[in-house]
Amino acid sequence: MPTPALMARGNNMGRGPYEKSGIYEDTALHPGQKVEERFEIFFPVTEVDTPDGGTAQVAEEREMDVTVQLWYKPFGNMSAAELWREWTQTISLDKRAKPTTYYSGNKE
Amino acid sequence: MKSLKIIGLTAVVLCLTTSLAFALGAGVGRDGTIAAKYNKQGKAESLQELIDMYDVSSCIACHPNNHEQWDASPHSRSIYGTGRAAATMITAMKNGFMSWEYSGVESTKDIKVEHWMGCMKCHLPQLADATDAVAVELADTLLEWYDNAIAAANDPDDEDAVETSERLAETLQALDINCLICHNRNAIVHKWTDGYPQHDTVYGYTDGGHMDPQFSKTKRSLIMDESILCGQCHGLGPNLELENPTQCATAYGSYLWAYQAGGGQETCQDCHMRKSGLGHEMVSYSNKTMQEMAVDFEVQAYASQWLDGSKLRPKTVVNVAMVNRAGHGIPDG
Repeated sequence: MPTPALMARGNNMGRGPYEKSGIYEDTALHPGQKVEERFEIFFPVTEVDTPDGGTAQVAEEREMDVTVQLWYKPFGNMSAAELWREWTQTISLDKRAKPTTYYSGNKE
Repeated sequence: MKSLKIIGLTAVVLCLTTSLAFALGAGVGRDGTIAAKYNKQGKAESLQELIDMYDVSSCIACHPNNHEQWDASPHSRSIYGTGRAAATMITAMKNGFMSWEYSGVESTKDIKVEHWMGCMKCHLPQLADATDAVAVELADTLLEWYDNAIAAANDPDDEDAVETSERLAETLQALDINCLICHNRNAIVHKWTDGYPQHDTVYGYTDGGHMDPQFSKTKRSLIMDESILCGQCHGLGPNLELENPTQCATAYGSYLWAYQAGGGQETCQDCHMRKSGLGHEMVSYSNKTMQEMAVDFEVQAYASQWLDGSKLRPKTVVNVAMVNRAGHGIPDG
């Protein structure tokens, strides 16, 4: 959303309409412009000893339920917030896994 | 003695001329507006007079659907809102012009219409058609409502506080953006080009008669289907015409300089009234249809790994792509 300047001076944010004049930042989605966001979420891992005397990180779970929600927050928090979109999918480490005799790093 | 009489007569004539010019204002037809016809001063002298001046109760019988849609819209409670808007008006008053050194306001009795215009330019534009006494009454009404609403919330058995807060809330909710604001008072932006909106005319899409004794004519407004009709209130940015500029909505600025500058051709009315099917309800972010229309939303996710030193760490990658299909930035504000 637009971050309005306080009385059109400096980078202090004006809060009430009576003190807002100008915009010094705007995080809104703008008309026709594509906005892409990338998130990386790590699986929880446990460090285990390997037969060769080293260690490896083993995922504690093989699946992760991911939910992406798009909220409209008129006051910047959850007060009167509206859920616009919700997307859910289970991401599996095994979905595209194939048998291999060559391991890199994540030994069991 | 004779020369003194002549001077006296001249003075009276000059005063009358000045008064007539003030009443007429600039341009032919200004004296035919609702405000000019309402009383000799062209100004409402109380909140109730202002409510009566822009009374739309005669519209309901023939336009029940439009009225029902409008009644569900924020326009029907443009000062009161859910109570939050009214409280913000009080904040604007107390933290704004009542606290500013050069505003000339120390107490509510000093408040003039111009002090309120930072809010009321859009929340109650017809306040410009009222005297400064109405500006004072509005301030006192808001404060009395708020004090009693708090008292009633703290003690629901306080009958006096409950009755007073409900009565004053009703008054505040009767001050709104109604049929006559969009279809009369604000239906003409370029008044020297197109004339002043006339007191007996409803502005829409056709010229002709209208079955209402008080509003017996219809006339085409050349901006009824143009975004500038809405842009009068939905904001370019700072309201620089004010002595102390305010800023609320910026949607119209975004519409002009981001949406239309990028080739957008829809109008406010196209999306908020017609394509959405909302008609005169014309709400925005809280409506499911508008939410669907506003944004393309696509998510792709997959499992991958991160090289953490010499170890691989499994992760999920989530890519989210959004395109704003509205005619302005989301959110606005």
